Amino acid sequence: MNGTFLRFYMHENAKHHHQLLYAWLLQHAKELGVHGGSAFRAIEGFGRHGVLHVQHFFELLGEMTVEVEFVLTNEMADRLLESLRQEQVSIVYARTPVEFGVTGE
Amino acid sequence: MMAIGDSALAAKRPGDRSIFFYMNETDHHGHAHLYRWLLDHARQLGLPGGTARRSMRGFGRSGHFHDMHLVDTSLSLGVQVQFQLREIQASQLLASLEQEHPGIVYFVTRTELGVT
Repeated sequence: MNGTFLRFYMHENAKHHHQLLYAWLLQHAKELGVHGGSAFRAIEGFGRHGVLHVQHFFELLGEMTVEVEFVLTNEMADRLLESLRQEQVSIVYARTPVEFGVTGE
Repeated sequence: MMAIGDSALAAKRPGDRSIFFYMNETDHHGHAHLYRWLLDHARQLGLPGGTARRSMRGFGRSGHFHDMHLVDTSLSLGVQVQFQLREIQASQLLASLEQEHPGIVYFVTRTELGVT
């Protein structure tokens, strides 16, 4: 089945509606009817603000980059991106066409 | 000057594939953790490499959220296993999983493999 691999990049401590942005984004996608999503934490990185973030031992401040990714139908990817436009939340994303499925089915 | 092998690697190969599999850390295949079984299975097929990484938060087919805490003892997070393969290796891996039937969510995307 053809679909979309959608990846979002944000700071771990970025917030939206008084909630951590990555957690909000996962919840928001789930409420839209997306079947799954995952957040991964980087160990080092830099982004739009030009600051290099390095993880230290027992890092509690949450300065690291988080990648949130979804595998979606093309229609659902459009819906998710449109809903984020409506929410006026600005998140860097990358969109890749993919073929997806479940093994053995 | 480039050796023949180097030029083959340097050449653009749009037929290469990235494959990503998603499962829970607690999923098993036989007596082994599914993500470990998958890596081992790929190694036995002669594939060149694979990487598993644990998510910090996510949800899947069960609809439940799984979270990582500072001291996490539950270890039931989502795991992604990824392979960067030649087209023929990707087909071989997916075909072998059809027979094994573990039912793993996956996706494939075109990519270009090389060595710097």
